[in-house]
Amino acid sequence: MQIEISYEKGEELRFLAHLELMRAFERAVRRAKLPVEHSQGFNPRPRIVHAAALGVGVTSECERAAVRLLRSVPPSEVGRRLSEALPDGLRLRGVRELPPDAKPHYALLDRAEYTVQLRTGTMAVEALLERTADLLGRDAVVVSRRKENGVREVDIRAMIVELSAPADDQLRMELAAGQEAQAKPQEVLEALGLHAPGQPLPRIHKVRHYQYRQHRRGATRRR
Amino acid sequence: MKAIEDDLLSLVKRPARYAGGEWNSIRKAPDSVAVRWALCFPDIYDVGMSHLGLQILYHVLNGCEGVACERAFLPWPDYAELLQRERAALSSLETRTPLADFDVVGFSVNYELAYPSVVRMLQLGGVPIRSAGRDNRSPLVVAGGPCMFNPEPLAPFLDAVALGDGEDLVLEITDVVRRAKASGEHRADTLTALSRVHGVYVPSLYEAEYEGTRFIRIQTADAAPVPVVSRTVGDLDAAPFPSAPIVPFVETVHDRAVVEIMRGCTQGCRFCHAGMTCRPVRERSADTVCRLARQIVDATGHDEVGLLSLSAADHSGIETIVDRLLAEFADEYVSLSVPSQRVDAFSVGLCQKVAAVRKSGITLAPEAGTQRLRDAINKRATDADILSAVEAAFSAGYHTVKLYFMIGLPTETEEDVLGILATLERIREAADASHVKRRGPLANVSLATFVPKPHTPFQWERQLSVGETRAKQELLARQLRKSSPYRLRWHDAEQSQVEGVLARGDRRMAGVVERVAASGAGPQAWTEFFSLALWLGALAEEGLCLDDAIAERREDAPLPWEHLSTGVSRPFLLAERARSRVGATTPDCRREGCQRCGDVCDRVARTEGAAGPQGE
Repeated sequence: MQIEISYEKGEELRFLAHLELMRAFERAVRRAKLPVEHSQGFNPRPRIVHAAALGVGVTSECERAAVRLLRSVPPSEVGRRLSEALPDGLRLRGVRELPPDAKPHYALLDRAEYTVQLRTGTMAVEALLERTADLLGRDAVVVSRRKENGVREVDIRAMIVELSAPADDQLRMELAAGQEAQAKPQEVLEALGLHAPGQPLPRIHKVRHYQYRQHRRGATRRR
Repeated sequence: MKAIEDDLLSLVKRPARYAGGEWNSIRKAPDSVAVRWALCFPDIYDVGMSHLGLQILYHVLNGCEGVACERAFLPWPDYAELLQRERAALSSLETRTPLADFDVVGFSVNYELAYPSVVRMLQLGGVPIRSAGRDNRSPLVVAGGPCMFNPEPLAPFLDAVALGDGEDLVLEITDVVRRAKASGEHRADTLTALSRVHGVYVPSLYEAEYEGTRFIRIQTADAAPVPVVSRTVGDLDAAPFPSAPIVPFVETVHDRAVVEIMRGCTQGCRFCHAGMTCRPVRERSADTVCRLARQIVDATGHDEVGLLSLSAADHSGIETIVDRLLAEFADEYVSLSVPSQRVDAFSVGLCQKVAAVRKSGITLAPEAGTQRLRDAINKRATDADILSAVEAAFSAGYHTVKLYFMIGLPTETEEDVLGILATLERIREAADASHVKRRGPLANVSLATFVPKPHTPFQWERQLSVGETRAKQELLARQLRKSSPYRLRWHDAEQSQVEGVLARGDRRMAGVVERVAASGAGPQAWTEFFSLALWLGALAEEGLCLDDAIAERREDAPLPWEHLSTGVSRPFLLAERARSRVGATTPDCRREGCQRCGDVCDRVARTEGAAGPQGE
């Protein structure tokens, strides 16, 4: 049986790295005494697949994981047991059964929506709108990404779907967030000149992670 | 000083180290308790959270009504710099309270090279560094742990030292602090009251005398006890143990559930600090061990249980424990690890048994390369034992073994050093005879440098210089390079040197520690930050000499730590030292009767069930 678990990563645990969050989840699942399937071999691990890696310092209300169970357990029962075993800061939002042949989340989800709360007094809404419009008007937005084998320059313009400023010190962004293309909110903030390495990270919150299949291939949307 | 603003944690590496909120961590409202402890570890979170002692004391103190115990660890240099830049104080994980605002700041000190980190944490936490500079508003600074059997190099920084097992001591110290706070008594009176707690040493009540550069004696003008005798928990079965320990988010050094199955060791290796200072042997019963393992796994979600002791194979019920735990966790993917330093086929058999879920390595510690030297250090393992152990390992399907050796042991000759090679050669022959498939190295050889430790039979011995250590390391490395189914690793010669200097240091070493702490250098326990030049400079500035510090000590003069007692007597240590010179071994008292090491066993009987502070 395969189940999908939706959960939030809250303020309390925003500084967890993805690996740390995965371990926290594994342990919660063990404490919940769920009959989780394990990998074979030298070092058996529980089969839990997270939809996406959330950055250090980023909170979310839309994280998902798929867990394989050895036998059928009602989703409500999974939810009850898991809720009790999760640490403060990881809140369960829902549990549902997935078809056995369901594609993994990471292969399906390709878009995410974030809200950003800048430090109070950083910039008024008018100025923010000017900046976002300027960025969206550019042909290319080049950021550098650090990989194991050095730094690589990437044009993320096509990965920025939407940018807006709902209020002073606030941003909302919709970004590509799939296997083939993804932009990080930090990169967009840096491109906007609102964040730089060595400065404290603004509060970034992931609101939605979803599938935008019809526009997945080829087309670059511009506005 | 205030705690740092949370948002700034995004600027440091692995911020989860500083954020707290782990499963099973305990947060009590500060104004709901009478006494607040900050339990501090002078190394980073990843190391400190692997330390069982810390988890035990956290559990004991928080289990006490009216007491809150929080944690603080040494920040990595990036975070330490950030704290200083922001003028923010090193604070607890639980409630972000600066160290300066606690009633008690308690350090667990397990490694000499962490001494400057103790000072650094006080400084970052806004606590006056020296005991003499603190007033009624300052916290009491207390330290315990293995290194504190000679706390002299930290003496001026500590208000009190807790000797030996901490389970009862921390509560008795808490009682003194609770009464002191309620009555508003003067700090000096609190220190006197602490000195009356059995097992507590208050350094400021004692004065050391020197003649020229030589330590003469240490004595007290007050009614403080001499010697201060360490505390021993008599009944391990009844002793508190954390059944719901904190589960770190960050991957720690030992990332597993831990059950301490035994405290103390009667193998009697003459170099071994733990073996001499943690006497007598006390076992936790198989029933209790299995009950605790079940509770801890349920409460944490760990997938590995480690059975902790100095010599697991010596637990009288070890086979029962292993069999029962393997059965208990058979369907849960929970693996078992049983580290043991004993070298024989029995130990290997245990390892093999527990490898059912996740196969881990086999570690053997012959310590020395010749029978003569093993006799001298009382490591009672023969060549035959070593061979039968590795043969058992190979026939159990292991391709590789891990071996611990030491260089620089007292009476060691070149023949002994080369004996390590001969031992390895015999292991290779055994492997060939067993047709072991070569995958990677046949043996991972770890080469430690002997460091004379206080309260051991070798406390008087000369310590190798850095040059001598390197010469021996290179001798082995040269030979091993030629024929290498082995991978050789050794401890940093310079770090070992300073470890020994601090281990046997007297109070004057405190100036050296303070200088190193003030230099702003990173944690000296980490090779990437360690600097011998820094230490040599500090020694010179304090008018101390490295040659004196590593020299052999005179048997007819008192040592700077002899006002503190582990229960093992000076005559026994001297006799053991003499026996090492003639290659006479001393048997295990649990098998062959009392060897008269002192009054460690009587003391357990005397202090067992003792409640509250005792007078002299």
